[in-house]
Amino acid sequence: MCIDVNHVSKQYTLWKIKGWTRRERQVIEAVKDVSFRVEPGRALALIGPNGAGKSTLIKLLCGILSPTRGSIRVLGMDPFKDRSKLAYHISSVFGQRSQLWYHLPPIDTFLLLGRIYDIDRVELKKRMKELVELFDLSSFLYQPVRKLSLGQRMRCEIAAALIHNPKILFLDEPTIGLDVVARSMVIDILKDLNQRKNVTIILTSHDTGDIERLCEDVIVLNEGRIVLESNIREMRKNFFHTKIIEIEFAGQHADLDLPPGVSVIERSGPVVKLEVNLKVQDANEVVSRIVAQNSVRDITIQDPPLESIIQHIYLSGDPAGREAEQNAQIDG
Amino acid sequence: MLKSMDKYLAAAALSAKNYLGYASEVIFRSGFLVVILFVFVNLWTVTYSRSGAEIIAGFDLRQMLWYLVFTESIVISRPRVHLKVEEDIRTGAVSYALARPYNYLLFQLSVSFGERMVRFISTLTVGYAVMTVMVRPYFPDLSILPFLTVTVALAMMADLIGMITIGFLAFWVEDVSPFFLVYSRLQMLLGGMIVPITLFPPFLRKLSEWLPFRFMVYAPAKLFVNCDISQALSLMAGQIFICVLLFLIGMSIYRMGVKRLDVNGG
Repeated sequence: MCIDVNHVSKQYTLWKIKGWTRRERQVIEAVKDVSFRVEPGRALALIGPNGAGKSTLIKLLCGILSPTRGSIRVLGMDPFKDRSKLAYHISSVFGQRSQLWYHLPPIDTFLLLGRIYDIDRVELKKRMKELVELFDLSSFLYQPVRKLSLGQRMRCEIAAALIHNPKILFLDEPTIGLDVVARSMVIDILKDLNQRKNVTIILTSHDTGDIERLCEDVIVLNEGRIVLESNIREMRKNFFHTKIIEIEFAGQHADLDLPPGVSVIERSGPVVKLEVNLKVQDANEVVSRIVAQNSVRDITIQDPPLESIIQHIYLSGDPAGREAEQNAQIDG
Repeated sequence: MLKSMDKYLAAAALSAKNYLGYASEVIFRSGFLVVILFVFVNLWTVTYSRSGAEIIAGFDLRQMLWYLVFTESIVISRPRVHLKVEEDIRTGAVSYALARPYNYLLFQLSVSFGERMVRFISTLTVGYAVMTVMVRPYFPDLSILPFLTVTVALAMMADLIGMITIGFLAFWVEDVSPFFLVYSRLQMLLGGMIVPITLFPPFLRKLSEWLPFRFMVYAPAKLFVNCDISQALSLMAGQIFICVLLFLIGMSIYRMGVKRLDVNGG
């Protein structure tokens, strides 16, 4: 087991200032009775709204904070007690914090990190060569960091985090501020690392596109609790009760005769977007019916974006219980 | 032991290299010294000529002026490491450093030491050139140079550890500047930056001998002008003691701060 979190809670103290001199102590429970496990080589997304406890959980996993209750094992170690030992096996990239030296080329940071992690010179040279190839850094390896684009800088940040060949990589918003091309490149590299090099990835991100492309598993946190732990594919299956059908009609089309559970959500010339409630109607049947009644040029069936599921989960609080209840009512 | 120090030496070297990127600041800082030295040369020339004494507090005029070049170079070269540490604590960056295999105090010491060495060498070079033109050149005894180098390094380390320790107070207070203000003024007055401590009245001299500041400013500058090897050894022993003592105090405060960080959720 790579990560084993057992009934972990983390409380901390906040001081509220009331009036001029009065201070009131408030105990915040940032993480509440959280348990989960991560197998080696998996890619897990930790998602949740601001203040959900994601950062606290990452800090607990890295050994920066100690749990108030419960136990954590990361690579068989207690992260808080064995922090310095664990530091050689894990790494982190925080999208808004840089570890590169601003006036110096990235290679200088790589060499320093090699010394920090006590890497043998020959091994370091080999490792750097691999990373330069993997992240395609050769063209700007000797350019000062201040002259690099944001995308180039982020590739260097991730390469720097991998210099000591960590078994677990913690990524906090690694693509923040990147353009589409740079973002795609970073995610592709991370995916490759995860799949080919078996690096376990723990990602926190607000970008559902990144999560969907990179991660297999997801944990949704809200107010310090796990509200959903699932495989992303499973989550789609369990939480998508609608499908979007986009139809481009050939020429004019009469008013559509839509069965119950199907509604028009957008109309633009010959293109009509429909939403099908899968609890009431089968999407394929709706398509067959429309194709039989009209002359259709093109038709596509899509899932609603992952973002809408996540929004739904945040808003519903305890989706697993509520969804199960609703399904039971429909089945009954 | 040597292997574990390797990372800190590498950090110091990289910091020195990084600081060369701030060429304009290096030039401006050194240029400021020209103004200070011009004032001091005139002030002390008048003082010596009016008093009629050749030696004041154990220094002749030439020694006094070279002493001031040295103390000014040491103090002006000081980076604002206390503010860097304060910022790290305020922004939470210090908590991320916990997950790295190094000692945060030693790492900050290495980085600030590398930067300070570049500043010191550039400031001293300018100061040396100015004093050579304004007074006359000074050639310290070559045999003292290795001792002088070690003494200057230890003086800077003691000062930087003191500054980093002040930065650690940010675990409890929002702004560490008032603490640094007191520290820097005490160092300026009782450390012998403006006048050598031998010029102080007895009670003040006694006080400054009990405080660590003379090891940071007065002692290396005195060694530079009087080149006494026998003094160098006892001075280095005192400096090592102060460095270790300040390091232990700094680490205790840091550990208490990190515990507080855990209680306050990072």
